[in-house]
Amino acid sequence: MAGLMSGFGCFTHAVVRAVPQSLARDALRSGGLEVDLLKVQEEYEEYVSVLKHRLGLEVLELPADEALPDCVFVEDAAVVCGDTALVSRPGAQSRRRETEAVKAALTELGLNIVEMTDESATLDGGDVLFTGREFFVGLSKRTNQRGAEILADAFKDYAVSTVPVQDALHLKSFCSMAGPGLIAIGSSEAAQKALKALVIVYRLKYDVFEKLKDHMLIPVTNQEKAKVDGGLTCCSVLINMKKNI
Amino acid sequence: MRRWHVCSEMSATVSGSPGRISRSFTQSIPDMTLYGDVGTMRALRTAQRPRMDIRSAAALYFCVSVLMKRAKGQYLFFQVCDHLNLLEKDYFGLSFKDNTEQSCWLDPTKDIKRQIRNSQWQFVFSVKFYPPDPSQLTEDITRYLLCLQLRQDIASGRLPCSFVTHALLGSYTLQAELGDHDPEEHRLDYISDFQFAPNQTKELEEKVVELHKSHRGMTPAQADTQFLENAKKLSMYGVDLHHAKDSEGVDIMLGVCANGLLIYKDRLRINRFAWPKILKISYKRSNFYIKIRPGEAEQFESTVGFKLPNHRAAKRVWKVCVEHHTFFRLVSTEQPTKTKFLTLGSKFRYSGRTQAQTRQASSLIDRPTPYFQRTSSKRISRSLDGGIALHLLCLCVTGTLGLVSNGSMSSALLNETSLYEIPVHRLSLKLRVQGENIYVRHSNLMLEDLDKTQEDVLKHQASISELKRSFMEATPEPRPSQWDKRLTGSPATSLRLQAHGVRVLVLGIRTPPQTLRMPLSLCSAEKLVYSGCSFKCGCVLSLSCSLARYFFKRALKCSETKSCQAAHNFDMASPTLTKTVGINAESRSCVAVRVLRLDGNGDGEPGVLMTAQTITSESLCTTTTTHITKTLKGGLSETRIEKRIVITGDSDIDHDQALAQAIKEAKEQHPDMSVTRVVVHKETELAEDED
Repeated sequence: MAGLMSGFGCFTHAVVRAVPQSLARDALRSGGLEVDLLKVQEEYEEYVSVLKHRLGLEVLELPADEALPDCVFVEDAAVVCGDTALVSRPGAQSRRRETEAVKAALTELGLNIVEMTDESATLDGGDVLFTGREFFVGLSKRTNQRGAEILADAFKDYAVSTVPVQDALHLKSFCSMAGPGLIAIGSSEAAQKALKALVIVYRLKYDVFEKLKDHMLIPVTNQEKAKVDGGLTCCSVLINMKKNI
Repeated sequence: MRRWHVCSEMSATVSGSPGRISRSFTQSIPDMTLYGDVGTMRALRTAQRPRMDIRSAAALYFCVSVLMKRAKGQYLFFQVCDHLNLLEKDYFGLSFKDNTEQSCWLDPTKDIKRQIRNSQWQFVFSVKFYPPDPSQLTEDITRYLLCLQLRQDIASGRLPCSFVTHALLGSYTLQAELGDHDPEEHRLDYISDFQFAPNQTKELEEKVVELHKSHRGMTPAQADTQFLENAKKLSMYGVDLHHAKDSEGVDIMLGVCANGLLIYKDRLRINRFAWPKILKISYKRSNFYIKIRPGEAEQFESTVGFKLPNHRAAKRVWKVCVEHHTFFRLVSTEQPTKTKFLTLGSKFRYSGRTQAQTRQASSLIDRPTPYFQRTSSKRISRSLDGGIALHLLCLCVTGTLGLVSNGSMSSALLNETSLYEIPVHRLSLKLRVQGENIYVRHSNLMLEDLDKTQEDVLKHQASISELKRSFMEATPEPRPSQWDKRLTGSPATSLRLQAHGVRVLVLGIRTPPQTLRMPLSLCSAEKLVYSGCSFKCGCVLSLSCSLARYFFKRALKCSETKSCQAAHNFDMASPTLTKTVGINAESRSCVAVRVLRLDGNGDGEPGVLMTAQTITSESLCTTTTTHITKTLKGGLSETRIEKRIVITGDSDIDHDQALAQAIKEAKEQHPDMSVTRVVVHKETELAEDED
């Protein structure tokens, strides 16, 4: 529904996907570090446990696909807002087929599915930041203008603005929503550049907080996945199935 | 004793010179600011009195309400608002299509005739400023009209929304218009009359019905409110779009809204300039420019230019920006002092009230909720008491009535043939339903059925004139309208409506396909009203009692004084303006002389300085002078408003404190002007220099 800020950040379901063995060797990465598969597995299990038991979400676990080493990062496969899911077209060729299983899961949940079929469009869900009121799409190596346009068409209620992303994989590699009206952003150069765009171009007001006071923070380790450029949000697609009409 | 001066001045330029205690902002007024004193109407010249004829009784109706030679847009607009029983008028306006099929707003301060020129006299009553928070509107009827506009915006695709939003808004529409869902009465096709989206699918209709069921118990006003609560969040709500090209020739859309200027490229918003960030807007030829405040890391402002299809389009965008900025950002629009300078460039300024003012006025509205009926344009219902739902959708002109030269009331004017050739029933064909439905209060409507033949029409009109004659002869009874009750000792003009009006009938026109109902509006003032007028016949679809009474009074007055000029110079807008006196104590002339001061004050900008008063105390003397100068810079004229504040002290005063005090006071007076220069001189002579 159009811009229900009060419901922002509330989710009922999460879609995750198990870690394939091939991740250690074949997952796309920018660095050259070795990845300990067991540790990745542990991290993943803890993550899912937090979603299920501490946050009370209903978690749909999809099986891994060895042919898709990056499939654990389901976030990139779809963008969900309200009752509509846009199944994306990942920028990396090797990840294109990841969307099939995700699409099936979202369909099963009863969401309205929109597919990105335009072959000139690419979009990774990790480049899409929804603030509750509008979308920011990072134009990166994985997401292009056309992809952003298709997103805008899929979510007509909201304004969609583009932010250039350099020196990082995705927009959400260095920022994310920390609550209604609150964006958490890193201090790296890439982050600061994007922040500049958000503040100056889009006139987002911002205060600098050192600490988030009213939030419950649950630390979950993500070190191993970070070696393959995986962030925390990458590992799930969060959905709010509650009817808030 | 040492005298020292602290002088603060604002000017329209950037001063970046070192060595001065200065903080500079740029604030300039694009283009000229002042209207000359726009002439008032010279409509009535008593040359000959027209012959009153039975057949021209119908035409008289046109004439009485006809827009006279110099009728201003505001006159018509106020008539329409009055007819709609709308008090919160400031959000709305009348638009028309010019000869290039572009929609333009009817400027309330200018003659209608001059604006329309050769285009058709067809006006559409629409929302001009979409309130960001419709729940703050005082009256339900205002919200209702806003809903109507939005429904049209959505159905036409002008306001894009998702499937779910279409369904939800549609369901509120149904709840408002039809009430609770009734499974017996409401089968699936009951909603096919409604259009909820540009492309309406069965699936959408089913969803609408499903949601409609869930709103059981909601009143129409509540449904409207919910509609607006959801609609206002849409990203394109209240955004006025214009096609343009950016400086590289890439196709973009410029969107003007309450918050500022938005730039869209292919459905993506690529830039956003909030009003506080914009220092100046201007246009030149077919280009439109905005000057942006420098960012934190930047030193200088930047100018962004856009190419519009033509000069007119550039001017249009500029006007829309000026209006939106003034309405939403400024607290009030002020009248500047007159200037002797020749003015070049557009003198256009937003002449109405700002949102702040209208909200203030609205808070004083204290009438019982006006009753109005809601139906869609395609479905017209009649209430049992015989009153009719009137659809005022568009006012149209039936054609030129034949020119009459100034000063003479020739029979050509009332050429019965020509007038008669515009019979009432033909009028109905020219009315175009624009999709908006507006309701009016039920007045004393004398309704007729025009399904009759021509003969019957004639017969009927004969009986009308009979009635008319008897009206004229009878002693009129006073009929105080609600407006009269509201006129409380207003300082308004002598044109105040008196109670000794003529008994009049209110005219209504119904849109096709229903038959035309046309009671006549009779007023003896007609005789004088169109003497000497050359006009295109424009008709206001209904003539309110108060207006007719007004005419009558004027007519009386005119007939008393033999001279033409003085008596006939009346400000057409005044009578209607007096109606607003009840709400707003200010009496405003329709001559708009306003200065737009662009809000150069961003958030967190310190040192806003302005003062308009002289403060004298024992040790300090502050004088303020205002200078308005105009300069020509490369074809673009620029106005500066400078206020110089000189604080003189006789003793060793803390000038920082004095300055701070002055700044504080000035800020209270005028929050949106900013200081550009602060100079401290410790001499007896104050050297003034201007940029």
